[in-house]
Amino acid sequence: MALAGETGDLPRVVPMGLGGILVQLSDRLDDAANRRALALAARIEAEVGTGALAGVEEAAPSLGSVFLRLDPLRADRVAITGRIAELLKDAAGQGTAPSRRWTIPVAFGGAGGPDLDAVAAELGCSAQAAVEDLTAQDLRVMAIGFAPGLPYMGILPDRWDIPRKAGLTPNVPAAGIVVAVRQVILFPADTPTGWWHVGQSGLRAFRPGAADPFAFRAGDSVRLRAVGPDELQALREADPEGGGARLEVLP
Amino acid sequence: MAVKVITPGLSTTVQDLGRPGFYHLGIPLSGGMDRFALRAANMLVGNEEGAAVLEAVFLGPELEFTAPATVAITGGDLPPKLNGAERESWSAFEVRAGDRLSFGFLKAGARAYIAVSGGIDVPVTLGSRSTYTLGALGGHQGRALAAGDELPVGQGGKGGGSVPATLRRMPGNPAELRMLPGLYWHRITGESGKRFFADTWKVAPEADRIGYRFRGGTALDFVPREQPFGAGSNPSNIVDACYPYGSIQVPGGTEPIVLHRDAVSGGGYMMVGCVISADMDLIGQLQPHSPARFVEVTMDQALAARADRQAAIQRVRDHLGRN
Repeated sequence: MALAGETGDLPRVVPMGLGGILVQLSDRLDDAANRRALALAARIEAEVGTGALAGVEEAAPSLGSVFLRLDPLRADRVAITGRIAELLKDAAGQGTAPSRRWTIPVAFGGAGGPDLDAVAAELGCSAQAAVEDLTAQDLRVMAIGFAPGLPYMGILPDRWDIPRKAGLTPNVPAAGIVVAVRQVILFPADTPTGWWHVGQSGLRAFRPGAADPFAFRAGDSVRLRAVGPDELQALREADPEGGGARLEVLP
Repeated sequence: MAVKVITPGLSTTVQDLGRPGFYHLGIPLSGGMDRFALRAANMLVGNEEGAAVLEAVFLGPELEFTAPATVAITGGDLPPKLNGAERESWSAFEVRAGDRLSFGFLKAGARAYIAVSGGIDVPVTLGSRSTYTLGALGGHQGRALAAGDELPVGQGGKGGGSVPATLRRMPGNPAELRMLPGLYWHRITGESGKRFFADTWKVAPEADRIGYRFRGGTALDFVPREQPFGAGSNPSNIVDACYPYGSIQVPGGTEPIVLHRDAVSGGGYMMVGCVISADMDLIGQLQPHSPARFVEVTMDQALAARADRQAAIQRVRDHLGRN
């Protein structure tokens, strides 16, 4: 099997086992490449199972790539690769405008955000300034993965390029907010992690059994809103699933 | 009709052929680890091949039936007993109301599939009855079975017959796991790649529905490169990407992990290749400490193996007259 070199041209379309193809748009974390990945995945989804994309069963975007799950006996890899090249040309420079916006109340610091001070120290500012900076950002859900409904949000400015922690935090509770490497994650469930735990929300990102179990979609716009721990507690009691998080559908 | 759980075994879950289509929302495939055995069990009891069954690992459960049904056990050699008397695996047998199914000690393989005519009728979640315990999704209350559970069973059809040993497939010794070198294979040196295939590995104790870890082979040598932004500091790290079923990651370059049905949908380790799906069934039957080798195949060989597997399933259908 021919493989493109590491420094070869991107995007590249490469087989991933018998049942998959990966369209790699970037080998680094990159906002534009992620927007292209989401746009490309949407274009592929619209044609899944038809024409040249017969045998494609799913298009799953990640941070800088799109994975196509195939029926290996029906998929024509040459035809698929050709069609992807066309869609890539169409999607060049394109992104998808967000169609939904979340506003999520978060209590930063204290017991619900024990790593906030350490993160502020990495940023070289006060904890309060770090929270102001983070809540001023228009975040975007760049990908969903790792766990059911888990959003990777970003991309934060360069100053937020903070490496993961050296050790593992044994447990961040569900709806906890963690940061690292210019990204923010809201954990759908209790999770051990190497990311920095800076705050707590009340939004359940994954609700098994609900008609729509997933709060987030890739491409959603997200703002975090700082609240005190008491206010968060009150919001969680009034709204056990959402913790006061608001979802607007954008025109 | 229901199946009562008297004792649950080590970790017995409801599984069907899985829940494809939700990688983009972080949901893995789930479903039976040995899908060939799962299909055969359903054929034996007259179910649709993808009906929900019970998957037991290492240690079987004890179950009681509340009404007559046809039952079949396939997969690893976990000897079934009905009211204490031994029964044949890979053969359909009848049970009456009040009968108890239990199991002797595992003799070979790792997982047994228990099919009941009518299928285990738990609710369908995101298109499947399979249990994804990490996500508390599907199956019986999103978890492994516990003593006292009662599982509903659907309306049964007509089953019967048995699958002779010649039509079954179990891992060899060592198990030979065919793989397509993949995406990041070029990141390891040529010598290192040769050793990867030459070495005999052993299944580590960390071997479950999420993935199988292998150890005992030589650590990988990476071609030096500067890590791209966002890819972490270890050469085995990449910017998080989708992890398909069967993909092989090597955290830190030391021990390969083959991701199985309940693996996370993505993450930040590079993948050196993918084990072909026919041999993913074999991994589902490997016990810790069993030896295994990775065997390089081309895309054409992998497609041929896929067709062989379809033919093997068809032979079971033909033998049982289920066409």
